[in-house]
Amino acid sequence: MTLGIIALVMVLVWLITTWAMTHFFDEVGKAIIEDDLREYGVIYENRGAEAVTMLFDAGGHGEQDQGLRLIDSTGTPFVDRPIPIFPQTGWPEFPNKLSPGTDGIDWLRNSLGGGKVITIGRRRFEDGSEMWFARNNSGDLAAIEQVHELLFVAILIAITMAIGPTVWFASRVLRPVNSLIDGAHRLARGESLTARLETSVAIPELRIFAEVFNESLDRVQTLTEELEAANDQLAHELRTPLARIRGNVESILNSPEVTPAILENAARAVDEIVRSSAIIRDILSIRAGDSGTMRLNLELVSLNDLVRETFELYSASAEEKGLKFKLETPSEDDVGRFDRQRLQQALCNLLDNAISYTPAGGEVELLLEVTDSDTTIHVRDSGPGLAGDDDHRIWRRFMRGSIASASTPGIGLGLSLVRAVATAHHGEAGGANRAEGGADFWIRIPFESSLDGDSSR
Amino acid sequence: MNLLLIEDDAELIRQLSAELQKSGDDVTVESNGKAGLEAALRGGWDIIILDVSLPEISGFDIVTEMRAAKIDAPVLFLSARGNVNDRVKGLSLGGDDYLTKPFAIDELRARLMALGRRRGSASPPSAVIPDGWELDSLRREVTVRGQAVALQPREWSLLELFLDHDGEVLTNSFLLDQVWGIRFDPGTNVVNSTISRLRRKLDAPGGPTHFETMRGRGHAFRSHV
Repeated sequence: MTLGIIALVMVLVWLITTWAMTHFFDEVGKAIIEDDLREYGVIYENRGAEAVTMLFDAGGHGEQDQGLRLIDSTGTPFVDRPIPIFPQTGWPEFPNKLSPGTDGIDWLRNSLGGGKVITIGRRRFEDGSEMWFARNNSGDLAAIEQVHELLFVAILIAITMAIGPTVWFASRVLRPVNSLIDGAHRLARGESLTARLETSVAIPELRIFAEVFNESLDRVQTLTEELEAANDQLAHELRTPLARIRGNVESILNSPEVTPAILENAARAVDEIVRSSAIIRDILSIRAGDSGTMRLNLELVSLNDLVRETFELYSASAEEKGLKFKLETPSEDDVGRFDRQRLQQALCNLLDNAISYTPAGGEVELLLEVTDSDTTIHVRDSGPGLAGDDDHRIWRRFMRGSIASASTPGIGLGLSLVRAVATAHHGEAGGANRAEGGADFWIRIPFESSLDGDSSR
Repeated sequence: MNLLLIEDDAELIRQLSAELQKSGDDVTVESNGKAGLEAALRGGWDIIILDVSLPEISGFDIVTEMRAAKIDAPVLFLSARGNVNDRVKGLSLGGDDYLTKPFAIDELRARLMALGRRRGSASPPSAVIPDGWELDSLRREVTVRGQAVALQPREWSLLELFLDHDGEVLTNSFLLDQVWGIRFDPGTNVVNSTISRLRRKLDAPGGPTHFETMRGRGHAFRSHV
């Protein structure tokens, strides 16, 4: 775009310069002829033809591509100093005759092609004789050619000066700025906390900015790591006190002399302890997934069986809620190496969500799809689907979709765990609204990863 | 049974000794890894209950040394480290079972019983089949009051587990692990609904149930009701 404009401007400059110079030299040429005709005319009238010839020859005009001719009243030339080209072409003929005594100058332009022009001025004296003065523009053409050469060099310099900064700007300023923006985007998406901005930027201000930005990132990372380590530690440490509490509450449950009301309260307390320990376990799993340290316990698993067994786990729940619950598996079995417990837990989280969010009379479908390159497990429902920016929120820890109400169970760890498990299997997890309504969540695992031999990565 | 408990948390020691002694077992307690290893190497234990994080010597190291010294008493790990890998590591080093804190005392008891029976140190499974029942394990059929009732595979596994643990309280997580092979809480009522189906199929209509659900604890099978 920029280059196009530059080229167009250069071509225009070239054309205008050429036209202006040609025009200018034309005018100058005519002025020279006019001057000479007057000067030579005065000498001719006062001193005669001989003096004119002497003056013309002394000026060396013949070599300068100028010609002179004097013609008497009968039309016979008595002085003839032709331009070097005339021996071939001869003096051209004027189309008309000037009347005697006319002081004006009569012009003739004779183009020889290739821009070469011979201009002849003619004037008539009182006695009926005529003086012709011819001029060849080859000197002008040489001058124009020289100007063109200079102009070409100037244009080259101009282009370099115009494009150079653009290239420099793009490579040393724009690229770092773009990488800054990309880096900031990555950080915003939370993909990586270890990414840093490039500091090899030519512009000092930008470099300082990148360095300061990186420093603050270092601090954020350190803080996050400390926080996460503290979280892990906390989660571990909570298990022992929970175990102590559970032991004591259970001694109430086992005691024969408590009232049903106390028994019910103790049972509720145990339920909460079970829930708390599940949350702790999920947090630790997701953390392991986040930091890439989730070590899979790979075993040979038939996905058909896994999906069918998981379907059976939930068929009672679905039936109780009045949902149509369907299973679809391919005829071909897909046996691969997976972490059975984790994969099934991820699947359970998806099914649990689908069943919780789909109103009675709705439909939940569990689907196993096998292609040449990967296996996808879909959980589709006819529930309310995802709203607005739910698509991003729901995958984050402790974030729940906007349709979740206080009464919907869960604290928003389920999908984070699904994603962590899928990622640990070199796969991915996602969710989207279906055209016919409801949501479609899936876990996709590529084949090569399900078959590789390492049980820990 | 003669149990060795190696655990450093005083409160858990108090609770576990009390509960296990209540069910008639002898419990010896060691609260650090070094003393625990010495006690384990002395031998003579029916089951060793072993915490993983211990002062001085870790539970994983103790089981490694024990197995190297040909002490073959079953080991049940109790651990606050509950991820799959720790479990797999514990079992591969020579542990026999693994329970993550916090656990239900009923579940610990059921697992100890299962380990003890495998060793023959606990009384053999009562396997008392209720009066009038006949079991055909090949066809997965129970003949009740003269009528053959076909059971689904999971129903059959559940029933077998219940028969092995007659009168014991089995927690949801124990049943999920043993019958469904899952070691996390799937948040479904699959255990309850399967037990409901067993009740419908096997209990006498209008009569007392063999399958008792105890709120907050779990489920117990009673051969005689």
